[in-house]
Amino acid sequence: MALFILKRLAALILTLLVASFLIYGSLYLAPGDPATQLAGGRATPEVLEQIRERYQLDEPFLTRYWDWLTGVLHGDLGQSFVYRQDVSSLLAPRVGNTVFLVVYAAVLILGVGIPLGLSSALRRRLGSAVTVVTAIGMATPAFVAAIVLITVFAVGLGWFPVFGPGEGFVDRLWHLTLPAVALAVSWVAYSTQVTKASVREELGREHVETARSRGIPWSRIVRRHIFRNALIPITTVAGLTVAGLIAGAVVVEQAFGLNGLGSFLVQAASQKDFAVVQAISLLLVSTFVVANAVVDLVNGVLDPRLRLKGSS
Amino acid sequence: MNVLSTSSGAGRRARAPRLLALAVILAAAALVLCGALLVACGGEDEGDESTDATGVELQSTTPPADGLVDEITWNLGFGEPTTIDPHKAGDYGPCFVASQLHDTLVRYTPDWELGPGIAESWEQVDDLTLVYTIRQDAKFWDGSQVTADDVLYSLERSADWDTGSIWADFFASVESMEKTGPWEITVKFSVPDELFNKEMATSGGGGIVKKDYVDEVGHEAYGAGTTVMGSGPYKVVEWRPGDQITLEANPDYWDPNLVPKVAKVNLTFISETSTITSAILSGEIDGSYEVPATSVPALEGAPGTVYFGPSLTAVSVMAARGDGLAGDPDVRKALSMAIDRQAIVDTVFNGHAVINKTLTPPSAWDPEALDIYEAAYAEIPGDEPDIEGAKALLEGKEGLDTPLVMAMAAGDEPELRVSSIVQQAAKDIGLTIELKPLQAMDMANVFYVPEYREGLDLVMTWGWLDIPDPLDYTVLSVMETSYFNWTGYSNPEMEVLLNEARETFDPATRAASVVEAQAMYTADAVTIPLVNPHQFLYMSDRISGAPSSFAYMWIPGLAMIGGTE
Repeated sequence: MALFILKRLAALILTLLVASFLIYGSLYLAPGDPATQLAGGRATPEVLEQIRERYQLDEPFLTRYWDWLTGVLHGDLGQSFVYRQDVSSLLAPRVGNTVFLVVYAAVLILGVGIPLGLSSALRRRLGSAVTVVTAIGMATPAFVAAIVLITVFAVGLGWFPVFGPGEGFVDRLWHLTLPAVALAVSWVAYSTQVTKASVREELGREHVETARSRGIPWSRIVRRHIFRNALIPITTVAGLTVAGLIAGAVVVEQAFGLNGLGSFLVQAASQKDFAVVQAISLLLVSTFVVANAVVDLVNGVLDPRLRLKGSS
Repeated sequence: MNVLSTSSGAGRRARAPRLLALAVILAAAALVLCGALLVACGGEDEGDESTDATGVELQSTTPPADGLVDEITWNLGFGEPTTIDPHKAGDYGPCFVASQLHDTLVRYTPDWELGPGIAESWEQVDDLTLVYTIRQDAKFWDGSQVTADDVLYSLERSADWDTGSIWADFFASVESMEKTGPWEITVKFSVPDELFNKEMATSGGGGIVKKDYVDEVGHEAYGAGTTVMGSGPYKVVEWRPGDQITLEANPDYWDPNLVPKVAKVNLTFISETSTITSAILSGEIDGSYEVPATSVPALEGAPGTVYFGPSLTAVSVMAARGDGLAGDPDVRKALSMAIDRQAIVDTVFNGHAVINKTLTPPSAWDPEALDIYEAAYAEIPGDEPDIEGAKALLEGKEGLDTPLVMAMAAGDEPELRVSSIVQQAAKDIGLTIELKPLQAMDMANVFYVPEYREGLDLVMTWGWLDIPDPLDYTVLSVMETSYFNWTGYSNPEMEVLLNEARETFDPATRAASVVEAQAMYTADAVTIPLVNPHQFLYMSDRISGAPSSFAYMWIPGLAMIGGTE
C-alpha cells in the first residue's frame, strides 16, 4: 500500500515537472505581446518599454522558467502581472467555486447516470427510451443547455439566480444548481451507457445464471453478483468524468458568470499571464493524476485480481 | 424470462417501445431545436420591430431620485478591471471605477460643463501660466486633509511614465509644476495648451491620490485589490477576484450634492452578453453602461429603463499601411463614399447612433463653438452613399481585384455587423474586403505594435475621445508623428493649423483653424469615419439619477443615483 502511494507520488511530481515546462514553453511560443493589454487604452512606445522592463517580458525563456520554478519550490506561485496580485490570492476564491460545481455535477452525473444505466440494463423497454434521451443530452452543448436553463428557470420562472457563485453552503447550492445541471447534461449519457453496457455484460455471466437457478432473490443477485462486478468500468469512467468536468466547466462558468478556475485559465492564457496559467494548469494536471490514482485504488478494492497485479 | 429471448409474445410488445422511442425522439428534437433557436435569437435584433431613432430623446442626465437605497448591483460589461489606479487605468471598467473613488482636479457635469473639482477655481494668468486654487475642505477616506502637496504629487505622478502612468502625454507642453502657496499650484507651459485644463477633468490626467499612501505602498501596488486611498464619494471595501468589487458610501464627502444615497454598490464583472441580458431581465443587475448595441432589443421587458445619451465614441475604419490599395487616398475616399452609414445606424445600432462624416464626431465638437463646427460639417459629403462617384474615382486604377484584409475583433457582434456592411460597400464598387477576426490581445497589439499590422490593409476601429474637443483626437491620428497614423500621412500645412489651434484659447478662433484642418484631412480620407453610437445606460426601476452621457467615464456618477421608492 505504502509502495503504491510512493510510486504514484513520484509519478505525480515527474508529470508536474514535464507539464510545467511544456505549458510555460507553449505559452512563451504563442504569438501575442501581453505588454499592450497591460497598457490599457493608451500604449505609447514608452509605456510599452516600461511594462516590458518591469515584468521582464524580454528575458530569455529559460531564465524566466527557472525564476518561476525556484519560486514555486519556495511556495511562491508568483504574481499575476495583469492584476498585480499574488496568484494564490487570485486562485483561492475560484478553487472553491470550481470544486463545488464539479462535485455537484459529479453527484448529479453519477447519481442519475448509474441508477438510470442500471435500470435500463435490467428493463429492456426503459432501455431504448433512456438511450435516446441521454443521447440528446450528450449532443447538447453545455452552452446551449446553460442558456435554455437560464431562460426557463432563472428568467422565466425565477426559481434560480442567473449568475454568481453565491456565499455559504446553502446559497452556493442554490446558485450552482443550474450550472451543475448544464454541466451534467452532456455527461449523464456517458455514465448511463457505460453502466448499462457493463451491467448487461455481467447479466450474461454464468455465475448470474447459476445464482438465479439456485433461487437466490433477484435483488441480492443484482447487488452482489451483478452490480459489484460491473462497477470497475464504471469507477474508471467516473474518475475520468470528474477530471474532465473541470475542463468542461469553463463554458458553464462563462455562461453563468461564475468566477471559477476554468474561465480564469482561458482568460489568463489569452492575456499570456504566465504565472496564473502555470498555477491553474498544474492544479488540473495534479487533479487528473490524483483522480487516476484514486480510481486505481478503488478498483483494487473491488477486484482483488487487480490488487495483486499492482496497478491496472 | 431471459431478456434476449424472442418469443412470439415479445414480438408484439416490441412495437410499443419503438413507438415510445419515436415519441421521445420527436419531443427531444423539438426541445433541442427550441434551445438552438433561443441561443441564436438570444442576443440579436428581433428584426422589424427596431426602435425608432427619432422617438428616442438623447439625454445626458436621468430623472433625479432622492430615496436611500441599501444596496445595488452594477455590472461592468467589459469584465473585471485590471486596476483601479486612475493613472494606470485606460479602459472602460478601470476608468469608471477609478472615477468613483478619486476626485479630479476639475470636474465635468454630465453636459460637459467644466467646473470645480479638488481645485475650487483656476486662472489662466497668461498664455503660459495656469494657477489652481485648491479647496480646503476635501478629505481622504482616512480623514486626512487633501493638501496642495497631494495634488502636486498626483499631477507629477500622472506626468511620469516611470510610475506606470499611461497619461503622461497630457503633460507634453508642461514646463514646470510647483506649489506656489499653501493652497496653490502653478503650472507653467513651454507653449500654450488649451487642452490641458480640460484633460485635468479626466481621472487619468487629474485624478488625485494621497502622497503618503502611495509612497508607502508603492506605485506598482496602488490600484490592485483594495490598495487605494482616494477622496471620492465611494470607497472600495472589498475586491473578490473574479466575482465583484464592493463599494461603500463615503458619508463625509466634501460635496453635499454628491453624498451618496446608495449605501453599497456591488460591481460585477459579467462580460458574457447572454448572461448580462438574462441578469438584467431577471432583475439581478440594477444598472449597467456597457451592453453591446446588438443586444439592446433583447432588453425589452426588462424591469427598468434604457436611456441613450451623447457619446464620444467613434467607429471608423483606419488604413493599416501606406502602401497597397489602402494606402491610396482615392481608394479610401471611394470606399468612404460607397458606405451606407445610415444602414449601419439602423441595422446595427437600431437607430441609436448618428452617422459620422469626419474624424471627430459631432458630439465631440467644442460646446463653445458649435455653430462653426456645424457649418463646416454640413459641407462635408457622406450623408448618403455615392456609388457612381466612388466608381469614378477608381476608374483606370490597376490592381483593384487585390483583396483588402480588414482586421476586426473576433466574437464581437456589433463589429462583425459593421464590417459586413463595409464589405458590401466595397463589393458595390468593385473592391474586395476579406475580414480577419483577431483575438482580443492580437487586436490590441494591432493598434500599438507595428509588426501586428503586417498583412493588414484596414482595421475596424472602435475609439473614443476623452473630452469634447477635436484636438484630443487629431493629435493621435493625423499628424505625421501621430500614434495611429499608419499610412505615413504628412500634411505640414494642416499641422501648422492644428498646432496653432492647440495654442489658442479663444474658442471661435480655434474652431476656425480646426475646421480648416478638418477639411484637409477629411478630403484625404486619412480615416474612414462611420458612425457615432450613443451612450447606453440601463437602470432598474428601483433607482434613477445616473449620468447618461459619456461623461460618466470621469465623474462619480454612482453618487448621483438615488432610490425611486
